[in-house]
Amino acid sequence: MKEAAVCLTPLRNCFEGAVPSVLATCSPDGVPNVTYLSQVQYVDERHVALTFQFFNKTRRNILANPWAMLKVVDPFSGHGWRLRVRYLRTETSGALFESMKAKLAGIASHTGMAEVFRLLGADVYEVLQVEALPSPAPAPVPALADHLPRLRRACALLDASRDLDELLDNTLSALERECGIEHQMILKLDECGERLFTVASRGYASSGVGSEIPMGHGVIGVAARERTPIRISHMTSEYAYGKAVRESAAAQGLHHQLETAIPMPGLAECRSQMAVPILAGQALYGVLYVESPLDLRFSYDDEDLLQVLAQQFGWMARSLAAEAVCEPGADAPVPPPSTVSASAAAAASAPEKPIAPEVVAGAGMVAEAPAAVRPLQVRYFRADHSVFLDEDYLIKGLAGAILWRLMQTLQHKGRDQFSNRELRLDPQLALPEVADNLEARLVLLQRRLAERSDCVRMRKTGRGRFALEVSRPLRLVLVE
Amino acid sequence: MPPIQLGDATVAFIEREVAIDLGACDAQQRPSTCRGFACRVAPDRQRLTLYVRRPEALPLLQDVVAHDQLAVVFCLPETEVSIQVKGRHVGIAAASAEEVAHVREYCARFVDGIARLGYERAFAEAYMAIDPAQMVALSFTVEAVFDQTPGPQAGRHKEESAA
Repeated sequence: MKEAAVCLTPLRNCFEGAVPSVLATCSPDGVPNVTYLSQVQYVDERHVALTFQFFNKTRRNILANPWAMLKVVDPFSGHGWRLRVRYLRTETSGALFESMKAKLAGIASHTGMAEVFRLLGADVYEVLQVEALPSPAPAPVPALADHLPRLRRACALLDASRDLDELLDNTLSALERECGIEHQMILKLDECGERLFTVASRGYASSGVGSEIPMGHGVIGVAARERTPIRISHMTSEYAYGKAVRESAAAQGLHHQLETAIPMPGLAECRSQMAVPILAGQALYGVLYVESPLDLRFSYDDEDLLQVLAQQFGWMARSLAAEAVCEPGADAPVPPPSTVSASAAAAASAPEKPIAPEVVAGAGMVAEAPAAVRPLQVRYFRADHSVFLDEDYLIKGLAGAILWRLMQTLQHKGRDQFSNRELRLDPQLALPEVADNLEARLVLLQRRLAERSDCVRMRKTGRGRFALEVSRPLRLVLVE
Repeated sequence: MPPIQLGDATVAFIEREVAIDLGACDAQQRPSTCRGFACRVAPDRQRLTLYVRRPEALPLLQDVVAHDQLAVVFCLPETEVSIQVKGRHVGIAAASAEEVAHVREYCARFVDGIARLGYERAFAEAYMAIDPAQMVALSFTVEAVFDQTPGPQAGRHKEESAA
């Protein structure tokens, strides 16, 4: 029989859970026990871990007699391997435990089995021997190992980004071009660390920019909370992901009112999904999420690639945010009000003054607007910082508060040119001195406006600078 | 343990398109495994015959000859319902032509079953590939049946009649 040296890395596809693995153990009195396993975790090239969920016969056997035999199957070629293993220890905390728990929790959250499948421990086994099972089937064709060159090209694309907006787009492009991933989103952790909001996506009918997932919920939320990649590779019943998240979150009261919720993008029939935390050192930036209607779409190698790329994203986002704070000239005075955009000026009755007649905020006291141009009613709800343009919900939270500040400045001072710096220092917004959230919120705001409004847009005018262009008179209404 | 007689539900389950894996162990209590490619229930419902690939099953065949203890797990991929059967009094013989035909029919039903679940047919056929000249019939007397479906109830004895 053919025996291979102990190195599990080429066998990683066997640990996807697509084909159940088999574990044979033996009691001290010589009675064999054999069982199927849904999850075998690749730990390193000489170790695997199995889930300890119940105190069953297998568990009793390995505690008394650590020798076991594990059979795994390649889900592509159908070929199998036998691994002679020895139980070493059970981990009940730490990275491995959290990773396995997160994966189990991610699966369980979709199947409503969270209470049944609870990880009690990660049983670590040393692999002593790997043996390819003889089979009359044709020998498997080794896959081309091209992940490193693709990672290198993807990294180069990210490197070319000059700001967060470009970094987001370049990351999605890199994944699309180099990995052929069609459905993807990038989510940012919010200021309170309680939710993740979508800042960019690709491959969906609606971008879902601004949609939110509570921390710890579903595959994305658990990947964020546990700071570990979660990859689910073979699903038949786990679909309608975004809808499920929204409904579940709403039921738990974790979400804002549904009328202000932006639908989460997501595939109707998702069969592979992977959520990778975006980290810069120990700091969590957000989550990179990809999905596919195909089974087994993402491999361990893909997970490696995305994890490295996500780290580069995390450090670059952090670096760009820091640069924005320290940027020379960022303290320079903002250009005078006369630079009101042509479109806004054209819409205004008095170009050198506010672009709409003075509007009284609150209490329903609203001045008359010119009959020719219907004013844009901007309602701001202070309680949750939500902003509605006419009757349509636009944004809430920090992005909503920022837009309200911009609108007020435009309305009362006639100034439409802004810098990120002034927003960062604005006492009313009360942002921390160095925070990457401002850039993300501005990108979010800019993208929501581009999607939802045909008369308000944010246009980049330079590094850390932008113009707010409004083509209709404004009617600002503050709702306390 | 005395032999037991399998009930109707267990027989019907075993004869469906189930995945089959076997376990045994040597004198040092080190386990061996191999896959089963079909199963046949004897008319008395006390003995089962599993069909295995000789090159793959060699260590397990040696262990059951030396140690006469066998465990077999059956799982229906569609539902993940599983049972484990344990027993002794193992007999080994080359599979007859009629038995090989039975194995082929069993494998074909398994391939169709997992193809319906979304597995690639090429994978399923490679997974169930057999060489008729290498098929071995391994029979044993059933002494215990356990519910093995994933969950807290896994490992419970299933009620079967004493023979």
